[in-house]
Amino acid sequence: MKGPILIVDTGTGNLFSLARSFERLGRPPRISRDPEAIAGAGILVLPGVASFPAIARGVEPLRAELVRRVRAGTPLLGICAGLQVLAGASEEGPGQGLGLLRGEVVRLPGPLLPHMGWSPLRRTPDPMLLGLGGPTVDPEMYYAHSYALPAGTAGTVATSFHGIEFAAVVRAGSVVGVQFHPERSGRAGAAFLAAFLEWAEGVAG
Amino acid sequence: MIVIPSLDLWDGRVGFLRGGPPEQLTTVAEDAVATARAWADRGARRLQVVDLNAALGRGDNRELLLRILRSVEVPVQVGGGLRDTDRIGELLAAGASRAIVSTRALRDPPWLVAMARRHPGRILLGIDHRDRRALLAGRTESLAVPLGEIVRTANDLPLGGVLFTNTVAEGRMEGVGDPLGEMVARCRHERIAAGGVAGPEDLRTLAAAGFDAAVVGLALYREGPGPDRLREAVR
Repeated sequence: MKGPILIVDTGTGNLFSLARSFERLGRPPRISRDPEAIAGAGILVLPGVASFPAIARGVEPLRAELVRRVRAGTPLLGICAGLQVLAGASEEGPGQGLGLLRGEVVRLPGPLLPHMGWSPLRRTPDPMLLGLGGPTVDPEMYYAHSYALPAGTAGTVATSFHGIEFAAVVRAGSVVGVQFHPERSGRAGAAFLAAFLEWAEGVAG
Repeated sequence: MIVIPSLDLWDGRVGFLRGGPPEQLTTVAEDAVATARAWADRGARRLQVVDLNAALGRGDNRELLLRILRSVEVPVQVGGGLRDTDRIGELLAAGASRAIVSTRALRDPPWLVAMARRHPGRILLGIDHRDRRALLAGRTESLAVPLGEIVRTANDLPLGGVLFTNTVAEGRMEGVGDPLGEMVARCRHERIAAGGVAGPEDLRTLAAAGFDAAVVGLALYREGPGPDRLREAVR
């Protein structure tokens, strides 16, 4: 593989758990908000525990480099708000996303917001998701959010439900976005990260 | 019924109170981080960690709590002496899924309202009860407001749930005691029970009373058919 796993620090939340999850897979990541580090990364991970406006501000100084790397084929995993900021805009508030995914982030219907808890992942037969759960068992993933991309978003390969069906896993080229928190989803989350790494290392060559 | 393994922290170790003062503490494990990890690896969907030192005003286990939050790959709800707005913000930012508030929330309802609005879905109201009265300040005082009224007030707030701890039953592994019946049925939030769960029949009692989840402490660290079946239910 060409370079390290880099967790992009957008200043919007705690990155320890996610770093620990990669360490447990034998792949300790680097954490940085330096465009040069992004340029040298083999795999990019963009987490976010934040509102859309906050993470949009956080990625702004890194926008050019992130988009350049993705266009050049570097695999990128967006998590939660890090998935949402891959789109262009959100109902949550002002701010410009990276525009790497089509569609606009919408608010989930109330009254039980935020959606905080475990929900089953309804999967298409996507290779990255095949090893999770079983043929007749959907894996349960942990969510903490009030906004999401609609289930009809181009590239959606799995959905979950909270008031409406929403995009849980979106893939477009070298970009993968997940609305759930793999770093808080126990064994299923670890299995997803392992499958992502396996795919990403294939892509990154 | 969701089983939430719990770790109470006392002087850096995992231990459980038996309904009263810390003199009646039972230590069950030395390494809290490894213990928390073990439950997550077993398939627990959620953990609860309570800082007993902080709850009783005898120091705290701050660093240990942070290490647990960094080491565990499932949601962790935290509690124990949370009376400070900034401290709650810190813990939630550090990775806690929910924060349990009790004494100050019950004494100072406007503060509870403010916390719930600031962190919607992430504040759990903890009610330690005995003889259908809420206890405060490490169980040294009781609140004159009836439990039913507390539940009604809580219903109007964007809380993440209500945790009913039976202080008579806790730490004894002799059953869950008074399951509160209609009080629980009136609660519109997630209803979590704690105290006294010793085996699967207690989970059935709590489910019949309307509880969604049960916090299980001491019994998960003991031997016997009841604890074995509870450990199997953690997944």
